[in-house]
Amino acid sequence: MNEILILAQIADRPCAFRASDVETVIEVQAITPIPRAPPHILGLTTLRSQALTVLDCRAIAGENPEDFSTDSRAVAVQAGAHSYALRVDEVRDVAMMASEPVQISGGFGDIWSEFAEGMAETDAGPVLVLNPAQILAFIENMRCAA
Amino acid sequence: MDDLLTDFIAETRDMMEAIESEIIAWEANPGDKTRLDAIFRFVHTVKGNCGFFDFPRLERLSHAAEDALADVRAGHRETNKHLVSTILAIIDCICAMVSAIEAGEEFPEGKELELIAALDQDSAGEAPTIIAPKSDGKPGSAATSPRSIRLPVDLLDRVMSGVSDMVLARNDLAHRLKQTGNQPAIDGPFERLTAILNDVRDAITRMRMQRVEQLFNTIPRLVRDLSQELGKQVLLDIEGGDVELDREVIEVIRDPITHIIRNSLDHGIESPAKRMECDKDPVSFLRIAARQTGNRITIVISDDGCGLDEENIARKALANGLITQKQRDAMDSHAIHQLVFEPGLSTASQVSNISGRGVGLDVVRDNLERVGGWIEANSTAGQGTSIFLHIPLTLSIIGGLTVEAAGQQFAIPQSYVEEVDYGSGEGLDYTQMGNAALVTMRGQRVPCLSLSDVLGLEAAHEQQNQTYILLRLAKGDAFALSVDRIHNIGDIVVKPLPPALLEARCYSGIALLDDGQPILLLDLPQIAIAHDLVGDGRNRIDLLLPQQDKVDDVGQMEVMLFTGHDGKRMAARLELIKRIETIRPDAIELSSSSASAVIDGQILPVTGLPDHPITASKARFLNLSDGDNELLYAVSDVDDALTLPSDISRCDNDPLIEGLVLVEDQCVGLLDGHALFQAYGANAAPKRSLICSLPDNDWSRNILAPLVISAGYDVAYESDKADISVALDAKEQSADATNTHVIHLRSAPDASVEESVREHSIYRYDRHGLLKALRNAAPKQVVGGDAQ
Repeated sequence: MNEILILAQIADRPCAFRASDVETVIEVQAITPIPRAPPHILGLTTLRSQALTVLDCRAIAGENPEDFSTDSRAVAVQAGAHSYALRVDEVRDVAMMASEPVQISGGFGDIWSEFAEGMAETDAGPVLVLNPAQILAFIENMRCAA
Repeated sequence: MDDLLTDFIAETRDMMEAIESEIIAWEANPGDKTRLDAIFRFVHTVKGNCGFFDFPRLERLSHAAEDALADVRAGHRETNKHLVSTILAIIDCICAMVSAIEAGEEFPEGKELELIAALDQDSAGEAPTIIAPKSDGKPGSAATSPRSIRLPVDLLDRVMSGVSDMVLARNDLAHRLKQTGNQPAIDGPFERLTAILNDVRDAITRMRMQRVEQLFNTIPRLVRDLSQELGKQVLLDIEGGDVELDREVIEVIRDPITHIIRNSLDHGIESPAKRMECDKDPVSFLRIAARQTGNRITIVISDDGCGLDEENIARKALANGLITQKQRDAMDSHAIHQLVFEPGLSTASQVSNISGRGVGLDVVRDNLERVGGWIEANSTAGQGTSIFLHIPLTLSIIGGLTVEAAGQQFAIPQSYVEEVDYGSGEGLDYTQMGNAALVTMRGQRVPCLSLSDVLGLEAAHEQQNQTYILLRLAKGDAFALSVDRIHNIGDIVVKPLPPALLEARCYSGIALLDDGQPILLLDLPQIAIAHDLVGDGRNRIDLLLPQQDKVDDVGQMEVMLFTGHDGKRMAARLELIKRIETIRPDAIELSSSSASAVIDGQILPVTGLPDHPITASKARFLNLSDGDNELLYAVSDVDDALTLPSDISRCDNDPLIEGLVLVEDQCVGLLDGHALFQAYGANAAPKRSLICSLPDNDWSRNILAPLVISAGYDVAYESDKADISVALDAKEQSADATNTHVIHLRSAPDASVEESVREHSIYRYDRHGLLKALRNAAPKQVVGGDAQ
């Protein structure tokens, strides 16, 4: 409770990250593409002198990124020694979490359930709270399965 | 040794600080096993380090404490208040002794013996106490020890990224300055800023990185001492000291490596007599090697001793309750070997003061896991044990090539690169074989990959405009990689690859360019494997090349082919050639008997010139060097460097030709370096320098003298004993009637004096004329004398 959420839109769905999970929100300038990388890895970018791997949340969620417009903002997260930038449709706002994330009957769908903590209420309406660590674990599992 | 001692003191202090709370907790609850283990490790490590530094008293004390604690751990001894206080007193005493060592003072005799005696008493008498002498003010007052401080790594990291950010900001500023055009008032300070920043960046990087050599340097001594003590003969082989590691990581693996070596010498390697029994060489072999493989560094410590005793390990583990019988049955020998890293397992039947308490290896594992590494044992009974320490690379600096393919830059580790050649060059032969491609580089036909193809990109250039890089993998497999172009060669800072990118199987790390743009470091072994270029596959076709029959390491020489001014093709040994010079023909001075030219302010003899003057706008020379002397050999064209079998047919026709060699069915004369330097050399640097006397004034001291010295003279001022002398604006030129040559200089430029004056004196800033005069003025018999 009383936690700050960063509201983002992913594939036209209202989502949110806990502010404590997020390093910062960045304006992605140039992306260095990575040949032979899977489609959800867009490339590398830099935040000051740190290299960030840019992941496309829309592609991870199984959607076609080209179907959704994007502002150039991304959510930077850190996992161990590595930093990632999570590309979303747009980063909207910051809001207080009004309720703990809860599951809904019927679930959020196979892929989304993998990294969604649950639905939480905010002033801006209900959002799906995502866990960056689980997103990374999810793509790691995809890699190992491949 | 001072460095090591400083490290030892700092390390002991650090550990002491770390276990401070453990001691208090243990005192409160003597039954707490984890606290006990921590204290035990502390005394164990101190004991180990002392053995290395030869502090017998400190060693005796820590050894006694270790014995007592080992008994407690094994359940042979009860902890009581007396023991706890004695151990605490011992730790205080260790602290006091370390302070004494640091200050270079003698520690009062007897205190430690008192404590050791107290350990043996079962009676609950009054435990002795030692209060560590409080250091009054500065502990490091010993002026001789180098100053060193310990810093949290976080802080270093912050400074490092701060400096990197500064470099980026500088680059941004540079960009903006360029847009506004030249501004001398700003450009100067900006240049300075750039230079300072580069220095700082260099220093910062060195702050973090260290060669593992630093760690390895202490090993020979350790092995020597241990093997003497144990009566074993050990041959030590250390390799890979130039691998660079994060300082933090080096600190972390320092103890593990020491522990493993101790174990290996103590338990792994058998005594010479026993080795003879087993038909082994009495001298055992201990090998320590560091290797960088992709994302990690592996340090292997292997011996050819008796190997790990599987049954014994399993039995102990069962007895200690580490594993159940059921688990035991399911384990293969590899899994059993890994049990040696579990706490409380020691297979040594005898406890010596070198190792064998089952404490070493679990500390080793813990230490490594702290930095994200892991440890592994591989052992064959009777043949030896290898312990692998795998350490993740947090950061490394390697020499690298930045290349471009399809408009994108990539980095290649320079260690793989053998040669670079341009598609348009004549030395390169590109053939398409089906869908595969082959190139011939340096007489070696190797498979060729296009980087654009490898990465699934569109190459920017046609095949002939590509640049080819000949690469050789560690196992010896060679292949060529074609890229659009090469940007840069230099040090690159490599950061580890995020796991998500491993899937691409092309990269081993991320590097940042100077402008902050991230680029990928290519994983060449991986790429070669993916394209089937490793092993006994296609790369062996180079053996099928007919002229490759004799490609052995013996009987070869490298030569440079060139065409002389007489139109003949000639060859010169590559080692003889310092570089190829291109100068304007009018820079060559021809005198009656010899020719010379000035290169970098040095007068060098010239040979190989044609009879007629050179008409081309540029003349090319091979700059030959015998190590001390240099001479120039004029050539009309430089062909190529190649490797030839060193079969030389002797030939006596031309004194400057060593013999004839066969190049592409053509006879080519090989220059005789000896004869050349005998005939033409030595002018450049006569052993006894001639003395040139100069006028004694500021101008000649500051401006003239350096030029005269660079022309090979020693300088004296107003001296009578000089070989030649220089006069400036002399009133009466004929007045100087001594035997020495006199060069007359004048302040007035050529244009403002009469013809007759011009003939007899040289304008003082006519550098060319002055050098020529200096050369001609030298008495010939003295100059040539050394060589003939």
